[in-house]
Amino acid sequence: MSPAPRALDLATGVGAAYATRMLAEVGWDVVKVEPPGGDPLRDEVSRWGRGRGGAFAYVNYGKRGVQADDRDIERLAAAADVAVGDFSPAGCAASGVSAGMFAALSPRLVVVSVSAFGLTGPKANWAATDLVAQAASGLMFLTGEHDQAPQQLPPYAAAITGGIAGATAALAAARSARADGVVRRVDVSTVEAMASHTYSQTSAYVYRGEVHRREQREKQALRMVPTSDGYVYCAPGAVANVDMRGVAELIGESRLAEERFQTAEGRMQHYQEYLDLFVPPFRQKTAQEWFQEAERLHLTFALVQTVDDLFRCPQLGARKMLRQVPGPDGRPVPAPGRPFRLEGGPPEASRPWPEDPGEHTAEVFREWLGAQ
Amino acid sequence: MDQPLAGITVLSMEQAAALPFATRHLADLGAEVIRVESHGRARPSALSESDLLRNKRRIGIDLAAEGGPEVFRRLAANVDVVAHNFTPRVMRKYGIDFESVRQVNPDVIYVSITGFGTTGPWGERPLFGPGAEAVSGHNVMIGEPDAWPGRPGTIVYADNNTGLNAAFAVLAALDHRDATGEAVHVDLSLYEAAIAHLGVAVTERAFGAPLPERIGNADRRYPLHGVFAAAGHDRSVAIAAAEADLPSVGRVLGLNVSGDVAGLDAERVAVAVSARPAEEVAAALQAAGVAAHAVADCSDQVQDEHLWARGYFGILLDGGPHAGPAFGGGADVAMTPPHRLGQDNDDVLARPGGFAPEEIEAARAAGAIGEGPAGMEPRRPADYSVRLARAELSRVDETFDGWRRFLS
Repeated sequence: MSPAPRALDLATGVGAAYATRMLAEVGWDVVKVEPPGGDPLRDEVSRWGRGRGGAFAYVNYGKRGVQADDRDIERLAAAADVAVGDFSPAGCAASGVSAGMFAALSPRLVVVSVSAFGLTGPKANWAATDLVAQAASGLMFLTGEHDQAPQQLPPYAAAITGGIAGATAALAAARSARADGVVRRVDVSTVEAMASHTYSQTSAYVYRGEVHRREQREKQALRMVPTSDGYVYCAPGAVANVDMRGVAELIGESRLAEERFQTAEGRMQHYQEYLDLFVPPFRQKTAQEWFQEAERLHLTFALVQTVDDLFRCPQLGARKMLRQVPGPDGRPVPAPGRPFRLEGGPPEASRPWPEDPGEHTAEVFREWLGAQ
Repeated sequence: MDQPLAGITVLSMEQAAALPFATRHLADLGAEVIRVESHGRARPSALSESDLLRNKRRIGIDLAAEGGPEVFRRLAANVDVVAHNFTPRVMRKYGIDFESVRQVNPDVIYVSITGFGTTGPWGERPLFGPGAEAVSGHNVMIGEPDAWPGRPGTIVYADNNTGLNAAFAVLAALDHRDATGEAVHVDLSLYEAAIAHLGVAVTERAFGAPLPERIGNADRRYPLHGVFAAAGHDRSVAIAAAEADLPSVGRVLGLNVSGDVAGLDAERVAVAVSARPAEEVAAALQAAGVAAHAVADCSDQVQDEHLWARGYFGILLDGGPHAGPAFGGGADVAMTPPHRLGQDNDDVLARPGGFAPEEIEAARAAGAIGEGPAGMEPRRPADYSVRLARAELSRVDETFDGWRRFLS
């Protein structure tokens, strides 16, 4: 078995770091270079406050940490197969990497940049947060309800999407580079990664002039319904235009089985009447009870879970999707592991994130550079 | 990106969006993707599917017909990757599950995309993309605090996320196979991929954050963070300002803050933004170094100079711009338009080591292979009045080819 391929992670923040975390999850030896003082993400709290360090822990799982100056970074890169960073002006400033590094680094195979707007184009110097990247992508315009402002997605949705895109591009480009020996440079934009979600809406405009927008509250109401203790996702079938007879049976409301409620268009035409029959009965039982009864009737309902529900989920437990990681006080806490299970294939990451910046400097310099 | 997967063949029994999105990325990277569908109940392809069908071959196999599973198995023996997004039960029933395929193709990469995974107590439960968003915890964090749970834009958010993870996993598995000769089963679920996508929020909660819930566009780390309605119908601008940015925000928006930014609250910003075009506000804030952007709709997106300058869009032979791969560079992707279902039957089956002409005819006669209807109509409906009145669409443009100026 050949030795593990090596990735050098020069990033601070989430996107590029998640790309190398994914490489660590498929057996790569990943080394993270942190600036003096460490990655500011180590001190970041959540969107809701508290939870300090959680984002850093998640996107840096499976890596070793070093501190290195520009000269050492170039030497480490030369000993790596792939180097990954955020080489935008803002990204370079945050990670302390010099601006010309994207063009100058010479790893054996590939350099990948993951930044919000990318390294070229008229907005290459624009400032961004995940909110702003989502807004620029076209996806945010579609997120939320029709009588509300466009809504943000869960934390770092754009950066994580750009990260997995960057990891995919790294493996793809490395494949090409192995074949012809030429170093590839890949410039991933998280805005574009999010824009790629909207292919249907793009085509609807290009071929028909339709500007799609956020779904109506009414349409949402057909899907997540309040119960006695929370919401249940009500889906009589895979798509919207299915009949309601199964739901009529489930909630004991025979009028919902009338012909005029059996298509999406019919429900829209008799909307208020429809809602009055459909929504109130769900208040009589808990979400879990409705879900179980729906399952017996072969309706494709889903639980509307919170993060705490995930920690108790028997499916995730059985599949070992959550792994125990060292929590802030040293005691283990659960965090998501590899996004997929493999039978055969490369091993998953097996060490936590570097506890301190530079924790593995001596060890990595010895292994990668032969330094004493 | 050049074509790193040239020479790799993928046999994909796919439906809906998750696996087609994954294999489209593999096709964009140069793999030959053979999309397998049942021709029995096929309908004409929809316009919205054109991006999921590009660069793929399409064959029709009816697994329920005499000889159908045998056709699939014989093709599966000579490809690099076999993928499906049906239930494990279906694949076992027709003898095309991982163990069966591995017997005819010892180093196969076999991809299963399911709702909850192929194992575990929920393994046989059905789940579709929008349900995956709900059960993974996305929806409880999207929307205004007093509203019912919201959903990510597009109905294929969880599907696409799963597909992107699948494309990554296939590349990693191919590298592993090349190094070791081992078969790999990639067992990927909508549910788990969505949770990984939410990993920051989940880990932060484990690290002591409050239970993530709906807080609209707020973010406690920024003194100013939100989406503000701008001049014009359905126009708004997203702004995220740190403490140090507030004097700049005040100056750009003409709010007299003179060093004291305590009074620069969201209400004053909303009033100041409401009378100005979103693009103008965003450009002025960016000139002052503040993170901001107009909330782009799909018309803005296909006319975005920045995206065109970067070569994000690919051009299908029908002439229009199409979304590039998630990692960009669509302009470098050779894009061939969708084939008709079954168009590639003869070509694919007749390959060296494949089916003799009389075997192909026998399979066709038995209904094991077949063709679906032709056509994909990007037809514009005569009347949008009902959909516009219900605000299902923001607007419908009478001329909508402004993107053509970028084609030269």
